[in-house]
Amino acid sequence: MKTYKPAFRNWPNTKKKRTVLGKSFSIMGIVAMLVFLLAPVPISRACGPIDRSFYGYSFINPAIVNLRTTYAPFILDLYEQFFKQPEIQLKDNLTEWRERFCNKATMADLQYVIYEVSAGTLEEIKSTIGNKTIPLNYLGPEIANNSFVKYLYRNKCIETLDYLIFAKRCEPHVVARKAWDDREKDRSAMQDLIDLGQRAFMRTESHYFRLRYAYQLLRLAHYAGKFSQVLELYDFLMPKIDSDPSLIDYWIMGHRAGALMALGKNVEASYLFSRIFEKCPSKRESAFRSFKIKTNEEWKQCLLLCKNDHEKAILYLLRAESAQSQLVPEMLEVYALDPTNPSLELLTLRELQKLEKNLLGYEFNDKKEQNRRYHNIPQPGIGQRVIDLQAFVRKVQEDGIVKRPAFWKIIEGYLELLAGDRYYARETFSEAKKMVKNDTLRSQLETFELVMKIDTMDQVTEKDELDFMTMRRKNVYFKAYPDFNDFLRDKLASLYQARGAEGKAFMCYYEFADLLPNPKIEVIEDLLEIANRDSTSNAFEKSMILKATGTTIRNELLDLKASYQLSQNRPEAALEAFRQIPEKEWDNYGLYNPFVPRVIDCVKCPIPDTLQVFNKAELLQKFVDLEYEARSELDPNKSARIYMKLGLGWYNMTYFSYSWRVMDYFRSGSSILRSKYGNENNIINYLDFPFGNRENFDCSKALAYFERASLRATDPEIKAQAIFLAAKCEQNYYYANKNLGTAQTFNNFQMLVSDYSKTKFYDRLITECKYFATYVNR
Amino acid sequence: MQNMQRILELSRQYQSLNLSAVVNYVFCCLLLYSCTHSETETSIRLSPSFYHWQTELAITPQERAYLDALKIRRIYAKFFDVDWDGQEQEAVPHAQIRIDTMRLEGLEIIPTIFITNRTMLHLPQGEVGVLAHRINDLILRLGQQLPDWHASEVQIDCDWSSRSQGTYFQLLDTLRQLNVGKDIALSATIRLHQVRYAQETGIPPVDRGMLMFYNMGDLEDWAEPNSILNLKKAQPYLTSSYTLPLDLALPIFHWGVIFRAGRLIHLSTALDELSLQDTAHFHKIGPGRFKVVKSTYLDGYYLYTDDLIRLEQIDQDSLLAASRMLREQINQSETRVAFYHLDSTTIKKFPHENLQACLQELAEH
Repeated sequence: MKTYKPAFRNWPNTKKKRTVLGKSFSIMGIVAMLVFLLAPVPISRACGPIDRSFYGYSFINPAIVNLRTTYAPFILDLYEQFFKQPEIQLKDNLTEWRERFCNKATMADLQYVIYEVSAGTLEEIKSTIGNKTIPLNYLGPEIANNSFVKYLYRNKCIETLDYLIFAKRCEPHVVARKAWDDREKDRSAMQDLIDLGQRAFMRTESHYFRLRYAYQLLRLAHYAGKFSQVLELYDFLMPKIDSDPSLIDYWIMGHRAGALMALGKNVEASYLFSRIFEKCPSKRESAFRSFKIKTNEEWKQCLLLCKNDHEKAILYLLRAESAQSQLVPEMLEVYALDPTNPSLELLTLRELQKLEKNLLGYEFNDKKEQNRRYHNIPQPGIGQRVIDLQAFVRKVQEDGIVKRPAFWKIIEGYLELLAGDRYYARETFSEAKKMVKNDTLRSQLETFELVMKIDTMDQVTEKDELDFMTMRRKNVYFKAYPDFNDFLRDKLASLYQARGAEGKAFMCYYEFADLLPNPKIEVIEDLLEIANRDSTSNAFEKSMILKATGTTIRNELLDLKASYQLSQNRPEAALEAFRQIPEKEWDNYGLYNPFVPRVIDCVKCPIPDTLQVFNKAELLQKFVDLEYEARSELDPNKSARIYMKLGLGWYNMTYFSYSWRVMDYFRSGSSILRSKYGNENNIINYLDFPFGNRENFDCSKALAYFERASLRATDPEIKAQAIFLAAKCEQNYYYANKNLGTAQTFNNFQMLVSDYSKTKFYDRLITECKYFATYVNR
Repeated sequence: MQNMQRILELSRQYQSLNLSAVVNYVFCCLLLYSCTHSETETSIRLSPSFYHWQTELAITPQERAYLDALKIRRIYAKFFDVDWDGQEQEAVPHAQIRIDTMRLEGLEIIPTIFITNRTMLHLPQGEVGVLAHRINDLILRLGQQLPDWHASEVQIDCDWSSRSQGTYFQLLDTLRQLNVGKDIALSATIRLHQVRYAQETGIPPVDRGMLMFYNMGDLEDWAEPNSILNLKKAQPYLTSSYTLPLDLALPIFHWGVIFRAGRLIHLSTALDELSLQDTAHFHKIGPGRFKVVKSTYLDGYYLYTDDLIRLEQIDQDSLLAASRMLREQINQSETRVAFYHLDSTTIKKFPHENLQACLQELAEH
């Protein structure tokens, strides 16, 4: 049984994922696919922060509910609209101005006059209207050609201009100040304006402008902190206005509610805010934020203020809107009071989104541990929430009151899928299919059915693989929902892994190059199995092992296997693997000579170009031959020299010497320092490598040969050399393990000093190896 | 002072000679006497003070009596917060203090400014000077609410990190330069992690640091016994090698930590056992742990069935233990000890004698 679990499951930041699912049948198609569709997601090479973002899938189309419902942006977290209250306010205000002036002015011209020109300019326009001798052109083309000004001029709208001039004077006192503006509010000036405005109000004949004056006056009083005056002004002014319904009614209501809140009447204020929330999009955001009920008793009182069940339902909707609210209990209340309230579909969708985020693909989501750790997903009690929403959705359907039964049927099916009830989900989707008449709902249903197909797959057959390839290229939903790529890939990877197809599981996420820094033999063997049956592997499998040139990665896999086996001290197995590469290709995988003796190790120093070099097959054969020669040699010194050569070969192929490439593909000078942070003390974490970087620190094989050479030799010079080489292994062992608390030893140095100080090699060491000289003189 | 040191030394000698308990008792009494006098005459001088963290600084008669009982003459009052406004892309002030000067006579008000770390992370280097000027000006303007006010110290509270260190320290430097020659000391709050990882986070360029000995546990973990004061977790963070003169801030506040679906959703500062006595809505499921059994409003927040509440408060034993642990941190002869924070509910839970005992514990340095 394989115990290996792919390390990529524990690497949250290794998003370099090249999938192979979308390969076309032709070579060109494969290449194009690899280039354009399946390119790995680029990741930063820098030491950036670890990505802890949530990773999941979503296949819900918000458009299946009526997004024109005015609270949709709130309920569905469509914040790009939610945070634009000032823009909505401006647009709605200008629209109303335009309507009141018979649509004779353009929005741009209205905006210019109402929001941009100064009080002085407005005074000039007013003077021009009042003085027949001054033509409008006198004020310049920008004013003279303004459609709104022309209308005011033609119709002598003095009251309008008086109001606009008054509003301009109020503006500095009521517009939000800059953050660090430390000027005190001029409450006296504000009061003067209130007095002035009241007189103007009384003079004004137009009830529409009376309404706007009232708004300005209440706003001034509110921002001056004169909350009782706000209420007094309201009671005094509003009975004197008889205008058509206007958005200004709600703006006035907002200031009245604000004053009530400030005076501690938060129940009454909250009721008014709930009305504004429902009826006035331009103040909805602030009304939502201002709604404040603190106790059960206040809630009851607020409900009593509501004039009907619909208004009560809005209170529950407001409570449901809090970021952390439990939706189903509030939805039940809304439904009981106002079963056709359009917000119910929105709230249902919002809860469904949360459940989907928690549950969809949980079993095979390769980032589920990250989701749990950093996002607490799945949340405790999520199962009960599914049950609660299912109960609600079923009740709604049973009651038969709702307008769109197909919507609820589709939701029911998706909830069953999220709950793992595959059979019922299939049945429910089948029923929904008969009910759906709307294209958007039909698309959603078909999307959910595709999700179900992938999610409920228990094994992946060759036909499935080919189907998915086609689907990726042709299925409209695959294109519409980017998460399908991840969803399918994660599912396939989990299925491959479950059946031991580690190579396929690996290639769902990574490319071959990701395997090189720390090869996994299970992955290599699985991919080799596919490569070896090249003629019988299907197009999907071929896409995993094909290079852009059209050839397969078989030789690279064999080279990798040979390097891996050698690093595990198995030269015969390495040779067997490498020899499967066609002989004419052998030289393409490196030429080496690891038998050069050096007193001082130098990883980057080239060997003399006069030396014979070997490809891996020749080199491995050389090791086998040397082993045989050493054993069969009767002369102890000759045998010792051969053993020493063997030891040198093995030593120079380790991390510490120049031929490290024979057994490895990536080496970092910092690895020896970082080894304590790695696994098994020789696999160092790297942001770019899914399995980390394995370094060949182990010199034990070389050490064994050096010790054997030392034992066999009778010549003290040979013995001294072997002991010195053994000392290097002893030292490297300390470097590689000191982080684990290993103490440094000098057994071989000690032996050299005590037994071989008379040798020429000893003298050479004293001259060439400062480290040894220091040891001797310490 | 020298006499006191000699007495302490003699006391130790007598104890080591194992003389009679009477002699020990006499010296202990002397020691106790010395500690119970504020601005104590032990080898270190502890100067007690309080944090005030509300927007409305209006001292009640009870609070004033409490402060007087502890001979407190200094209040660290939060003047305003500074946070980063993502839309405006600038640092902005919030929650500016309003001061009622009644019952403030004889109290020195130290303006304290809380700056979010994200402000420091976002603030461009080129705008540090502007922000420093703005902070300085706003302190002066808000301070005008106090008659004849002159700040002898300004304290900046920011949980800076190694990433924000450069900007934050530049801000502190600029603030210091702005007040050169005005006899205004600059202090900064220091968190435990900043003490432990001083090499990474640096030591702020200020005159004094205020070591905030609280909020040390994992607030968001339901299993956390007490995130306000968790001495087991604090121990590894303490080191006596911090080079800045350190004052000490100790917690006496309480709160309720509310969890929904395994996630922290709300902190309720006014919550205590008394407010959860209604068994129709709350069931006690363990010491300081409650479950909501029926949805209800509580402290202005709507709770749903199955929500969980963890009450966190500081008991006298914990406070004394914290004081004992902190003795080694005292690195200056005159140390200020600030209790967080002053409000009517907090002081009801902590009679002034308890805080006095805590000061004694600290003084036994």
